[in-house]
Amino acid sequence: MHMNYIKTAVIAVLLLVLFLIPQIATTYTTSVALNILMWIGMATSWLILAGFTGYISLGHGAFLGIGAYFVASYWQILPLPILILLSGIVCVFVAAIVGYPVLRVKGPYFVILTLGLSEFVKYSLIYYEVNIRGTVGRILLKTPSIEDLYYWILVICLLSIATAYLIKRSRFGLALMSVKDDEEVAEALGVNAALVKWKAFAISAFFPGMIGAVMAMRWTYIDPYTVFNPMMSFQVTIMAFLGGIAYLHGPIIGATMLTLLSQYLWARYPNFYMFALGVILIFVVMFLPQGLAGLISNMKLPVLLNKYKVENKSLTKEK
Amino acid sequence: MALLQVNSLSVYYNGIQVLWDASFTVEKGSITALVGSNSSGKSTTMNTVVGLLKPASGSIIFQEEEITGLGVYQRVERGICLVPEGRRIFPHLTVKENLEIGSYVQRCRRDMHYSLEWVYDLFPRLKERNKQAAGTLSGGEQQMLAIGRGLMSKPTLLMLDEPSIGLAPVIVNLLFELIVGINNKGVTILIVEQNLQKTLQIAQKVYVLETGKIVAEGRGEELLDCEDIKKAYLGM
Repeated sequence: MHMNYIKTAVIAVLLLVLFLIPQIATTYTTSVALNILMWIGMATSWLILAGFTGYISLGHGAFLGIGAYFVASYWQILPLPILILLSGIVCVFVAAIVGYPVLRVKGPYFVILTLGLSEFVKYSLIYYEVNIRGTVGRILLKTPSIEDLYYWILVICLLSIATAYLIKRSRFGLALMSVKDDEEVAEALGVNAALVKWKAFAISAFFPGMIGAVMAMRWTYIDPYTVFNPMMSFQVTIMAFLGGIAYLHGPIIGATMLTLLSQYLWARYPNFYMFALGVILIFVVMFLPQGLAGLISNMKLPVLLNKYKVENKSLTKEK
Repeated sequence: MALLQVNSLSVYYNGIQVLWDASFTVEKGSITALVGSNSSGKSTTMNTVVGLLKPASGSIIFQEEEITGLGVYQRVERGICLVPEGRRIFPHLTVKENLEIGSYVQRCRRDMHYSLEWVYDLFPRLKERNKQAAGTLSGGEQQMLAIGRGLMSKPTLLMLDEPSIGLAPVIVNLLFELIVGINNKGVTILIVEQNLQKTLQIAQKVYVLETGKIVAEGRGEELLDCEDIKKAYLGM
């Protein structure tokens, strides 16, 4: 019981701080916080398919690109909230159309296929932009202030965490996790594996679509090479693995740490970030297969908590 | 009355025909066994009945309704359940979560808690360990969990694929008692087993498979008495 109170209190304080940041912090801090929230939203929504079912997607960044381009295409035509919401919905539809055939492919082939598909989207768009529209990029004028964008990202990020949390606790989530452990047996028990994977994929695409929409307004200039950069997808995957994909707080930890690291390195040692990313990936795969969250839950914390619980019990008995 | 009727089923696996024109019936309330040497097509037969494999020809009739074209989940919805070979529990899920997946289909959701109590009654060990990751159970416990998970779907037809494989002899005896117990509760059982002595004792009807064909059939005790069949196909 005590632990739950502490947990709730910590979360409440965190939320309050997150809510107050644009009011009290400098613009620089706000922009760093915005970046962190954006990556948390990306990594957590990635987890809904990849973490729960084990279908590792290297195409999650493509939805961000689609969201960004959707906003650029309808900029100042539709009102802002509708624009953001529609960007997410468009991505859900794209995922639903692409997902049905793609999710029948398993294992490493699925990973490669998602990467290939996102590159396909990128080059199709480049072709369209250059040859049909005759442009290389898009500029967005009169975008909202960074404080406004911060609140949009905060809401989307919290929404993706809440969604992942609710799914994980639901029967649907259990079905996804059974698919991860043994897809054939899950089917033999009556789980319609094709359907649940498809739903998870469509849901997970909703959030990067909206994040892309907001980030396009933040960047104010977008072109296919940057918003469809496969590094986006790689980073999301590395963040999730660094934090631990078996845990809901894994991507949150991973995204926060890597974003802070990149802020630090870009400012002092530019170009070193990519190198660090590679080293971290190797380290995580070799020594931390369960990520930082796994490390925490395997080591000190439970021991300390148990100790605390035992002492607490004996105290109440004496009374 | 026949609960399950399989008519001239032919199945290919990776381009090779592994089942040839197999026909058999499972009477309602019975224990029916498929026996035969390794790779004689027993598991293939079960996987085809539950729908994991699609037959090239033939038909499967369950409760007087053709189910040959249905998806696996639709068959589970109608009361067919397979407990696969090698237990295949979900190692990273808890014991309780494994059981909950067992009643995933619509028909079983409402009664999940009753089913859970029933399974915990049958296997008190599972209740003790309900919050433990299933991968940490012993081999015998994992087999109990696999059967319990199957029972969670309240099956009319429970198919057990090699349930005694890799278990200690004491546990095997327990397992067969348990299977008879489940059958007495009205669950029809189709079983594939290596342990012939025990299987022939509990099965009312036995089909002998040899390289994908059904070569003999009879009552369990009949086959135990028939020296020719025992020698030729069962290696006894």
